[in-house]
This record gives sequence, C-alpha cells and structure tokens, in this order.
Amino acid sequence: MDDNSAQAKVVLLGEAGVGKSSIVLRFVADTYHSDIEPTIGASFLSKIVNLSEGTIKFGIWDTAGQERYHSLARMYYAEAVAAILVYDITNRKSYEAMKNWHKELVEQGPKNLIVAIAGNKEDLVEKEQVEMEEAKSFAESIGAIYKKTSAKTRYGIEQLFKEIAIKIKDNRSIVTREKRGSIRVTSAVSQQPGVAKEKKCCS
Amino acid sequence: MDPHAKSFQKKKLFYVLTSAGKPVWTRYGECADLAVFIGALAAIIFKFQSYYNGVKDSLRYLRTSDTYIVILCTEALYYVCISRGKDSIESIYHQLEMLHAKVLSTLTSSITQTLLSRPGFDVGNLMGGTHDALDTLIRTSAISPCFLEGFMPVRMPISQRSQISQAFKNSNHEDILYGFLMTPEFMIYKYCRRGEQIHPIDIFLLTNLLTSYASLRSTMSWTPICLPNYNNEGFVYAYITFIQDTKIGIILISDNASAFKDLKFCADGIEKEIVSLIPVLMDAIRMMPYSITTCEAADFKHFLYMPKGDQYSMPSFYPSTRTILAEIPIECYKKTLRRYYSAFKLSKCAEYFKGYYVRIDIYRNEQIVCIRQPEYTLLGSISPLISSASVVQSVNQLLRWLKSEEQNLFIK
Repeated sequence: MDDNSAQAKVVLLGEAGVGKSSIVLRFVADTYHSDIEPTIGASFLSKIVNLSEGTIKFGIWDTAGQERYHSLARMYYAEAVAAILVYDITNRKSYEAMKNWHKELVEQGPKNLIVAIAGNKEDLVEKEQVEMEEAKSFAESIGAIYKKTSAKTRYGIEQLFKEIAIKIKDNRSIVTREKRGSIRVTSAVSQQPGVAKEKKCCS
Repeated sequence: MDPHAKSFQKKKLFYVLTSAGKPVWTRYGECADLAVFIGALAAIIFKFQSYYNGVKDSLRYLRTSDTYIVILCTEALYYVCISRGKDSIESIYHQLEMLHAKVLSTLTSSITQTLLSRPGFDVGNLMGGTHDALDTLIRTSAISPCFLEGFMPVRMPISQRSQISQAFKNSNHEDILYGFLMTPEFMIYKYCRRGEQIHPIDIFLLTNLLTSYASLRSTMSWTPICLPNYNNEGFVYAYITFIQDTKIGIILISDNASAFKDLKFCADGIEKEIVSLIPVLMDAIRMMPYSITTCEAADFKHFLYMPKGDQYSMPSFYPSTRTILAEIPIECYKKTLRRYYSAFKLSKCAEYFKGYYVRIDIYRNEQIVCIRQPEYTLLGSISPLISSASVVQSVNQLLRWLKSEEQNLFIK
C-alpha cells in the first residue's frame, strides 16, 4: 500500500432485493444486470476513488439481505468506517427495515460510523411508496448522508460514494492528514471496540 | 381447470413442507398457490402416521400405474417428490435426502428445534434466495453418481498436484479447517486440518453453492455455510475466490467467524504460488471429463471407478468407437446411471459374500459390469455383443490401466 492512499471499509445493509449488489456493481464495475442472483453471505469488492487530496481505497462489503443472514451482519459492519443503508423507494417495508438497521447500528455498531442512506430504484419513481421528503428528514435527524440512487441509470451512485469519501476525509476522529497530503484511516479508533464485541457474541 | 394444473404436468415435482402443512419450497409454481395441495399432502402423511401409531416409521411412498409419490419425513420437515419419470424410488429418496442436507446447510438444524416449539413458523421466508440453488441441486444430483458418495478429481499429472499441495502447505493457517482448489464440477486439490475429514455430501453442498451462484466468480466472498456432516448445529465460514478469468476457485473454510483477513492472506499466498501452473490447470480442466479414448478400456462404452475412499473417476459419455458422433443424449446417460445404481445396490446386499463380487447385467444395448472388492468398486458399460470371456479380459486390462493411472486420477 503506498503512502498516497487510504483504506476505508464500507458495508451495505438493507432488505433483500433492494439493489445493494447492483449499486456496488455499478460503482465498482459500471455494469448493471436486471436479474442478478441473491448474494449469499457477503462479498467483498474494492475500488479506488480519487479525491483532490489523495485517493481512498474503498473495501466494500456487500451483504446478503435475507433474514437468515441478519444476525451475521455484525461481523461485516463491526470493522466498517461507513455504512450505506439501502431501501427500495417503491417498497415501504424495505424503508422500515432500513430504519431498523439504523437502530441496530446505533446500539451495536462501531462508534463514529458514517451512515449514508440510499433510496434506490429512482428510475421507478412513478411507483414511489416512500416520499423523498420523509426519508430526507429522517436522514437529517440521524445526521446521515441521503441520496436517491438508481443502479440501473447510474443516477446518484458516483455522488453517493464521493460524499462518503469526503465525509471520511473530514471526519477528523478517524482520519488523519499526513505530510504528503495523504489520508490514512487510523483503524485503532474505529475498529477495536467492534472487534472485541464481535468475539463476545460469536463465542 | 385448476390454474395450477400446468405445474402438475411437469415430470418431477418437488415439495418441501413443514409437518404442520406449511409450504417451504416448491420446484414449480408458487408456494402460496399450492397451499391447499400441500396441506392435503401433510394431512395424508400425518394420518398414516397416526393410524400406525406406535410404529416408529412413516409413509415412504405411494404409487399409481405411472407415478411415484416419494416421501422423506424428518423430525419437522417433510420432503415430497412426485415423479412420472423412470427413476427408482431409492434414487428419488436419495435426492430428497440431498434436499434435506441443503436445507440444513442453509438454516442449520436449529430450524428443527424452532419448528418443534413453534409449528406454525414460516420457514419459506427464511429460505429466501435459495430457489435456484435447490433447483440446481435436483438437476445435478440426477446426473451424478450420488449413490457412490464421493467426488471426482481432475485428472492431472501427480507432479502438478503435489506442487499445489505444497502451495497449500506453505500458506497454511491454524484457522483453516478445509481448503479446496476446485472448479464448480471437479476437485483439483483438497486439504483437511489434521484429524478432520470432510464428508462427500458436504463437498456436494459446496459444489452446489459454486454452481448455483455465478456471482461468486467475480468477487471474493465470506459466507456462512452449515456443513451438516461436520456440525449441523452451526455455521462454518467459507472464503471463496476465483482466479481471474478461470473456473478455478480457492475455497478456504474456517470455524472462526473473524478469520476473513487471515484466510484472504492465505488464499492470496496460494494463488501467487500456483500462478505459473494456471495454464496447465486450464488445459487439464478443459479435458474434463476425459474421453474414454484416452484410457486403455477396449470394448468399454463407459466406466465408473472408485478405489477405497471418497473419490471416483469416470470418463465422459462418448461412445468409445464412434467419437465423431455427438455426445449421446443425456437420457441414455441417465439410463446407464440408473443401471449402475441397481447393480451397485445389489452388490451391497451381497456384501456378505466377502471378497470378490462380480455381476453382469445384460440389457438390449449394453452389458453392465459390477465388480466390488475391498479395495475398489468398478462399474462399466460394455457392448452386449461381446462374449463373457472377452468381457473378463477387457475388465482386467482396464483394471491394470486404472492401477497405473491411479495417482493422476485421484488426490492422494
């Protein structure tokens, strides 16, 4: 790993079928398939984003949304710097599930976790069940980034990760600037409590 | 007409239901539409059990002139297959057992406890996202010799396999329970922690995972999986990654949920070390299953060889003398497989003979040879026109060749 880059683990959480994998595939590989299979467990992808101050290497955990994997999600978010909570704007239930995910992160997630909310499937806006205003004010109330996205049309995907990258950079408690203008995530602050917790639950 | 009648026209229907009659999974159609039918199935099974109260047994199958209804009852889940095909009851039963293994591998045996305490529990919801994997399992178990309980390694020079073995040794870690270098169909190398063994059914479940989820090939995954024959109560964790642009996967399995980083490091190490071997590995895989013309198996159309242990080897299904022709249709292959199965089954019953067991079944288009010895099992298909004396000769020749080729056909 060279000096000019930083690493940041990001985890995507949300109900099954809201498009988590599609968002990741759009971001990482710029591809889209309408009928991808459900994710099993979690898959790990990475992508480097260039910022004016240097680069951030995103390590992305794309988790499975099925209920049976729910209890296992913690091992993926325990070490994350940022979490993207995804819901489907055409599905009210997925919005409520997203709120529950947030609750869980507050209770059990690592401290200083950056949270972003993505209202996915923007291309189906005519079937919208969750008003943007509602989601936006929820996001504001919890201090989260809010973005409407569409993995299908690329809408908002790039910006979503850019904003997260910027926030990671700004978040002084977990990121320190170095002399050569690089960014480094100091894992000691954000990761240790989570790891310790996880061991407790899995033993 | 019943709107669901269409799904009933299929040749082989599969249902998974709870003992309370709640649908869990159906191969065709929607569970919700079939609720009444599935409820009736559960009622039939339940009634038979209650009529024969006190007998520790349950309904195994029902049959009509052209249909088998085969039933596997586990503690809290019922598995039902309605078949209009030619499959034997035993082989269908075997498929149902595989389905059960798959359900356990997804949900662990805790699902039984849950259902026993809450019979109305909705399992279908928990099985979300596995429909295709269950369907794949049914298809692959129908065309593989599951009855042998084994897996098939890639045929390749022993020197290359020992190089891979060395790579796994060099990148070993105490958290690795099992390690595999494999394609979705064939095993290249397998490693087990000292003192551990892996059951062929667990390997089959792993294979099913790799076959069913093509998305595993483009990313690295860290996924919980229950290997019921290792421990059916909990999950182990599988690190799955495929070498770029190949069908070759490195799979490392750990009983430690937080070993992702260490296992990734090991897998990267293994990949680095075998990178020079990849072209030859690709060649070896392209040849799989190998043609029978590359074996010294005169007169044989096909054979299936299993030395002691959990590995078998068989050539592809090309007729040896007419290689220019297209592969014979899958139906013929299935027919031979069925005949292997019935010959094999009989040989099992005859185990009390001890020592050398030979049986030759003569059919209109082939003779099926079945030989069982303490050291090996050989099944083969030979033209029906060949005399028994020449059959014996051909078998001996094939056995000699298999002995000499054994180290390349199998993983040590």
